[in-house]
Amino acid sequence: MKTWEDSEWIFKINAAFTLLFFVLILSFILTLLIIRLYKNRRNRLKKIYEASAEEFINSYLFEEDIDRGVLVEKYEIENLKTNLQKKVFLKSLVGINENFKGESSIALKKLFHQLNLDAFLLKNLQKGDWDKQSRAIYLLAELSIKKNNLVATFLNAKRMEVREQAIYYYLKVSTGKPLEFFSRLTTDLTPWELIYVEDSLKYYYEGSMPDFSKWLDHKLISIVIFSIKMIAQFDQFENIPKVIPFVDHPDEKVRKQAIKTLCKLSCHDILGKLIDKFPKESTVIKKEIISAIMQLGIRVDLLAIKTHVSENDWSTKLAFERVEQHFNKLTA
Amino acid sequence: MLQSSSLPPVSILAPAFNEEANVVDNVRSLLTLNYPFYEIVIINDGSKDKTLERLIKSFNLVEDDTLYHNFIETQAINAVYVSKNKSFKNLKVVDKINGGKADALNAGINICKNELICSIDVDCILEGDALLKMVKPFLSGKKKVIAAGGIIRIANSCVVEHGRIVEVRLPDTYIARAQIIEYFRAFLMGRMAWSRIDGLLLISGAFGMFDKNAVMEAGGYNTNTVGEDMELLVRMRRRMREKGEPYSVGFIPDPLCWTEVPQDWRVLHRQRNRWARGTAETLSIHRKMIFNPKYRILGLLSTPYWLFFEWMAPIVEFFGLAFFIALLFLGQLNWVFALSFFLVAYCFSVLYSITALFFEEYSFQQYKKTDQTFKLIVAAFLEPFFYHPFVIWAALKGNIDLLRGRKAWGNMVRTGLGKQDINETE
Repeated sequence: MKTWEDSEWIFKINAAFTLLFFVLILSFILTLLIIRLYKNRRNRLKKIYEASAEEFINSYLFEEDIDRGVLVEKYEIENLKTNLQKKVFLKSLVGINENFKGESSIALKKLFHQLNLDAFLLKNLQKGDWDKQSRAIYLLAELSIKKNNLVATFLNAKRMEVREQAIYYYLKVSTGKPLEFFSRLTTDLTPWELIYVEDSLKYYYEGSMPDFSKWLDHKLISIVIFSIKMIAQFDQFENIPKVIPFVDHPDEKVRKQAIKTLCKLSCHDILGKLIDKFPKESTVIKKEIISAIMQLGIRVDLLAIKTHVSENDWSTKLAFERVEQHFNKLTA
Repeated sequence: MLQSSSLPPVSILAPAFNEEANVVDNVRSLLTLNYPFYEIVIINDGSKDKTLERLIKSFNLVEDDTLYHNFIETQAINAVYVSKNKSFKNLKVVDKINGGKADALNAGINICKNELICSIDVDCILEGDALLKMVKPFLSGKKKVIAAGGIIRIANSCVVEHGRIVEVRLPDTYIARAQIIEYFRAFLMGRMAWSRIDGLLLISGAFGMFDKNAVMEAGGYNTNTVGEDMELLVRMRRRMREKGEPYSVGFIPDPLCWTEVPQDWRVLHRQRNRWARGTAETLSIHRKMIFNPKYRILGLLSTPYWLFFEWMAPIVEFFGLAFFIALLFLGQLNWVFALSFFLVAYCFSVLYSITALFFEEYSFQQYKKTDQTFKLIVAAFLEPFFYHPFVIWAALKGNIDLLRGRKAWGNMVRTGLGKQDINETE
């Protein structure tokens, strides 16, 4: 029998790697089981903490014969020792806050400060990872805690999730100038973020809608496109004259959005200009003009561009024929 | 976001061939997806059973006269149907002469009306918010996104209600459990890593979203390969690179689609045989890219990886085994070396699977019960002995079949999730 020293080098290498891989396998299995136990325990604790938080908040809000100061102090010492406890409590607080307005909502915000949870959120905002930061901004927004200057720094954050929450914060907290943060932007917003802004404006913002023409000369093209779109979304007919020049904008996306907006606002006067522009336009804009003719025009308008629809441009030709079919059906 | 009127509309393209058993339920499931604007285009690819009749009857379909153009050449289209019932207004059924999955998808591309297309297997179960998550990369990047994919999960034995997975269960059969491990490795490690370096070459045919214009500019799906999903993405990427246009391919690290995997060795053999042929065909068509620095990551990393570790690995393994047997017969085998090498290879293989399991546990933890984790660990230890040699053999056989000129795709006749095994017929 050969000893270890006498063994061939290749055998030694194989043995060393086998041992290494085996140890790694065992370590991963062990870690895997620890994670499983940890998550199970955490989920159990979450349920307990949730129940405790809800019971406490209900007592705080509705019980009359109690000393609220003592109750809060005692709860903070006994039940808000760990980050998980604070996290679960905040989630419950926001959940309950959604169902209340007026005095109860003010009382919940007061409770938030009394429990020093603002310090916890600010710590997460300043030193946390991106997920903690975005959660903290979300909670500040939900509880309408005003920290505009602090949150402003996250409008241009690297992570999209953080940027989204910062936008949401501004729209949720604002009472009169929901898009004030546009002036602080340094890079274009993505279409996803713009949809997010639009949604937040429609569903979360409670003040009066701003005049979107204010941002038609914004340095960021995405904001210009967004503003043109919002003029249509919120039926700001008075801005039609300000939108018309954008039909000649050098950027194709701006031109496309301008045509869409003018169509939505039933601006029939623009049709002649669009028909004149048709021969020199790109395929995308040609299709948009055809769509505009369908919405605003009649068969004669469509026939006016027929000679400029190239036989080889199948996509435009198909759009043209579909609208022609539409007009045929109308007259049939 | 799901209430937004500004989200881009999506066309879901689902080819169906002899799917009479489940097509109506599957379409009903698709109709309940949570997304504001989408159309479902079912392409009946010359089914010989009653797929079309069932669709017409169940959804009150009538012929539609909307104009369309064959941007991509396909087999003849018999008719396009839409529903008289307003509840199904976003459903379109295309009836065409049989031309294979790729041809059916091309017909769907010609007829669908939206700029984003989502190709799926008709029997897949999508998560309710799958479309929203898949659309996100197309709206979030600074560069043009031409395609996006997500994590595919195995639905065998899961509890399905009203077209949704309501309880994730572990399949009873070893073959399906081994495929779960394999999918973890592929999606949680492989594709996630490739997407980080923008080197993805494959978006699963079961569920992928594409920019329709980019697909049409690339010429649509290739009808001459059985690996049409991989070939399309490689061709699209190659084309974008050659045009010098900045672009990217998105990958959503969330489970978005649940699919049924074979639980029968014979069916699995056919599937892997086809995958091997698809890989070889794609690499052969795009051989110019391999080791070509002009294609950057794709040329220097992705295609060489697919060449050596996906296409050649079964061949190398087979010849290694043949050499081992030859040495055994000739009495030339160094047992100490052979056994020690076997142990290294075995431990490495198990380590790879356990690492994938660890990622799953750390991130999604879809299998919630502890005994399910133990069963998957056992499957990982057994896989190199039973499952791996089998898929290697199937892949090798696929290469042999390719050399012999076999082109068949194979029809999947499924009995449906929560029922019995699936059968595949040629």
